[in-house]
Amino acid sequence: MSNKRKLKRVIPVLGLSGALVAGLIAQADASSHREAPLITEDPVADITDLYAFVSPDDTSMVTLVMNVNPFEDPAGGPNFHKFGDDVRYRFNIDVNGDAKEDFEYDFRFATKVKNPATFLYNTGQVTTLDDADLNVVQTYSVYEDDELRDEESTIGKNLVVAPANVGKRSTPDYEANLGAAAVTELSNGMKVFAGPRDDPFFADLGKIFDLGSLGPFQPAHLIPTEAEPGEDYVAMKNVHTIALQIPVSHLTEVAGDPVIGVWATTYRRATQTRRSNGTQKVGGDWVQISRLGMPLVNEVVVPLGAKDLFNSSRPRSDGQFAASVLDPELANLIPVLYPGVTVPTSVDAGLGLGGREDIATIFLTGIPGVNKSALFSRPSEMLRVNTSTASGFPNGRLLTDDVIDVSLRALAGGIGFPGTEAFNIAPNNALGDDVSTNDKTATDTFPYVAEPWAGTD
Amino acid sequence: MTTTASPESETHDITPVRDRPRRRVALIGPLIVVLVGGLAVGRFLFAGSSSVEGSTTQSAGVGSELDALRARTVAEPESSTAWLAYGENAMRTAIATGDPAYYAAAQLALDTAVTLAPDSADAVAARAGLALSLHDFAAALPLAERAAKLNPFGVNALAALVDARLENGDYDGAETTLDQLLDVNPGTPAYARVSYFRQLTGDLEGARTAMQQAVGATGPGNGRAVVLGYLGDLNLELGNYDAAEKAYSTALTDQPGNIAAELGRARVLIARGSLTEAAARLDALVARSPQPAPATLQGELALLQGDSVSADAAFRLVRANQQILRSQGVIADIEYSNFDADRGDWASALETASAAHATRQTIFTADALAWALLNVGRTAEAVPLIEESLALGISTPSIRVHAAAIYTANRQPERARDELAVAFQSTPWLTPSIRPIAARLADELGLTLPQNWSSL
Repeated sequence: MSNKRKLKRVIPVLGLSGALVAGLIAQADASSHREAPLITEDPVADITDLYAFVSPDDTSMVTLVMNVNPFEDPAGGPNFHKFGDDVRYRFNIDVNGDAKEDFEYDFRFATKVKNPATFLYNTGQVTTLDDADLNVVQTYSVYEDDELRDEESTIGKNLVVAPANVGKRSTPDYEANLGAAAVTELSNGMKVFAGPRDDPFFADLGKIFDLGSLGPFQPAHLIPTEAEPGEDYVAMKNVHTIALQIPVSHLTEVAGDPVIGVWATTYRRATQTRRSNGTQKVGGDWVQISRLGMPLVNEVVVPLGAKDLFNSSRPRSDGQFAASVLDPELANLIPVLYPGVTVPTSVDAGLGLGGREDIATIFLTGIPGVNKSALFSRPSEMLRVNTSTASGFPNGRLLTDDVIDVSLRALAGGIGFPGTEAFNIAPNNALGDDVSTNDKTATDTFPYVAEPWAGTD
Repeated sequence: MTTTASPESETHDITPVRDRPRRRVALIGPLIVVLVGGLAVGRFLFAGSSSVEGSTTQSAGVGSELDALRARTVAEPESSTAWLAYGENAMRTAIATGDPAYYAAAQLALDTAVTLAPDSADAVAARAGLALSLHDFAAALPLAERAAKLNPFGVNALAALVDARLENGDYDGAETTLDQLLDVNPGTPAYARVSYFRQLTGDLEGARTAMQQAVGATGPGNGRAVVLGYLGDLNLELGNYDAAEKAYSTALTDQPGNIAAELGRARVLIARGSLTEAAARLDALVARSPQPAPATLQGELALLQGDSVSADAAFRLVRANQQILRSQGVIADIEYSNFDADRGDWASALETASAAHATRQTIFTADALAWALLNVGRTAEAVPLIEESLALGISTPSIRVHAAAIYTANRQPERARDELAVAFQSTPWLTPSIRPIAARLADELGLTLPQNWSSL
């Protein structure tokens, strides 16, 4: 089961009962009771973060970034991290506010081991993407489904995934030789990249998981301790990045509104339960197993116990989560953890629903005047980008946006949303985990995500 | 951090994730039950704080974590999620350590979790999972049905229902639920169960394919070690010793000390004829984990080597274990029956198998009862039961050899030959006790024992 966002990365196996029972009771052949595993982590299909923004160096282009495979240790050898060959990765884009995917960009991967006789990832120094010394090569293809124009096409074929940043000896001048070199400009004006990068996310996960503790605010906590500086728990970790840059006009010219809604999904194949006619079909329907639009979606949008449902669901059905958005558990928690802090319980944003309509606009409709489509017709959870202005969370999401701080303050009524003026005071408008920047600086050209940490760093 | 090679070809997309930051599970006051939703703290606590979260090189030790979770139930006696987290961890600990005392703790905790939140699909599914672990299949079925009804998208709820239906002999129902599970989430829980279902139908190659998918859909750690153990077993049954060895060694990298994988490696050695080395490994394994499966194999291997004294000691250990498991509420009737049968205690085997088959008509209860009936001389009665056992097509050699013996006794030599032919495609030493029976039958029926059956 995939975990929806960064904070969820730490959720371990749920109820794994399949441990060592073969040793406890059963014989190992198909006798009697078989303990089979329950939910396990599926890191290669686990979307940790989604970013979508108007490109800083070219405002006619929008950039989408999906990161998977959380907490990669750069020193991963000899089995360095990869994308899943049996996973389909997809960017979905709604351009007309109806919560349906108008554009789909699918990424499929394939791995080739040049010399299966060696377990080595590389057999010598690797200085080019087609270096003979690079023993394990992953390639990918990109497919576009343009529902508005009713066109399906393969827009990239057998492109090379950037290899692992093994270290100075194996992969000298990594970024120039291999990282930037893996950016492909497609004939339709788009750019793509796939490969390991520095994880651009930053958060003090350690303290947050210790009862929602926030370094600077620890004295005000229900269980007070001295104030402490924040600590970035995802420092020096890599992720696997899929980045796609698309001309804005390609997306918006048919529908005519500058707001696009983006979400990422991953899929694995179902399979036949049993063979038919003696043939063993491996493939089956692609089934969505993970979904991510806005960061922190599991804290604010998805009710407890509905995680599996959310993973399987599509934005068009998100009305079912409206109640928990209008009464966010996390907002209710802030005054409990920080006695003395009060948060709004009801904010009228003209939706006619009652409760926290400000939060509902951020997650489900777009904020009027910021990133709500003039064509909006159906509430749905996605990352909305107004392509006619500069991006910044919650209008899209930049690699550098501090989504933890912004989200906490939004829940506390501290971001100046109309109707929350009384709450736009300290500490509500200053809440945060005291980790405000990443440990590597985003680059100023596509794919913007910083080069990966090396195994020798 | 040490770099550990896990040589893979088929499973090349396995990439170790190390150094996951460990999250400290804090103890919290009763006030903060609400936390459970907030900032993911709650779901985090509930979801497990299990040993798998930490370093992949960690073994099953979960003591301090379990203590923390137990303390949380003291602090928050009204929190279903606190009891659930503790109960799930206790259950995992029971399974991982082989110390059945943890089952009692798990049962108390999960019963409390369900009482406090009768409509929590997660709590009910976990309770169903415990019933399955205790082999209380009759109790597991209604619990799993309820969990799946409470959350039709719940992966654990659907998985528990698949298991409960399989264990109660409802193979059609299990297949339907398995298809549902595949539609909700084709991940490791679904693939591993597809593999087992195919194994029950005699499709070992298909079972291996699905288990390979299960391995590919999970990250390194204890969970993957489990499915790698099964993958090893399937490769072993298919005679792919190198692939089996590779799966077991990767499992042991994921979870050092994994008993199924250690046992698997001993069986690879037996298959390759290295009996002395296998015996040494089994001795060490049993010294560390004196559990029924390794002790049984230790005893059987000792018999093969003509050491009846060691064999007897091993089998006495198995019996002692079974007494303890029974006293802890673990129902292992099929295991008792098979064990009694293998040691020639037919009256006891028949009694246990009859009782088991009366409660659930499965491939294994039907086989156990058929085999016991034959051996107490109720030859004709054994026929419909062995046919029931084989209806889905299972190819397990012991069942096929039982069938051959039953048909021979009922003067149906052609059917007996067919059954032996199926058995002979398999690896004989998976259950060494059937080898001499197969040899006698082959002789009677005028068949030649395959080389790999006679080499031991």
